[in-house]
Amino acid sequence: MKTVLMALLIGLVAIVLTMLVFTCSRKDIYDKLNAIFAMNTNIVLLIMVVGFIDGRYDMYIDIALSYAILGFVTTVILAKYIGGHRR
Amino acid sequence: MSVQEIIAAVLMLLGFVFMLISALGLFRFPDFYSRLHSTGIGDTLGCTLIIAGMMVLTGLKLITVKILLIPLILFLTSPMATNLIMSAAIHKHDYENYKEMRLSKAIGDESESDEAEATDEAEADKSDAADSEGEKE
Repeated sequence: MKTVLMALLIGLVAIVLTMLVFTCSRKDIYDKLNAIFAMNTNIVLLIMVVGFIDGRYDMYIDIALSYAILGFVTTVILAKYIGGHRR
Repeated sequence: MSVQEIIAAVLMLLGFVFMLISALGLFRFPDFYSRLHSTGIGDTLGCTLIIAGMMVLTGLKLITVKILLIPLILFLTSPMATNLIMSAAIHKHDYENYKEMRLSKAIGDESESDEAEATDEAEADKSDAADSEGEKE
């Protein structure tokens, strides 16, 4: 089971890194915002996988939950801030 | 490996495949709005399958219910965030002349119909004038 979890960890880290590269390389700011929010979901799952490898997953669940809510709040604030005042 | 672990591994790897598809779509799709669509795959099916694998791995405990909270929160938040990003982008890019359409709807049907009547009257006047000219000739 440990090997499957390690493979999952490596794959998720690779996805997060490629999304980071995507975020830095694109010109359009909404593309960057979308990639950051997709990265947020991946990182929540990454935290859970790290918790299962560590064995103390009951602690890591709280961190993952707070990270999910925090990422959502960040995305909402950034979308409202970048979108600007609408008529 | 017991049967429980095998089921958990299969579910997790299947979920990872969906996360990979989502990331691939984010890279390869040509349009911004289709890229938004591809993000939803990872948020729904990928996340759910990986979390289901973890729930199978923990077994029947109270923690299992707590793990279920994570896809619940993601199900609530990810459509909202995607909708906000999309509406901000539509307003900024003026997608398919959206702003003008929205403004003309917000003003209401009365002024628009008045304008239409006014243009009709003007066209009628023009046609009358053309007819009278033709009669003169």
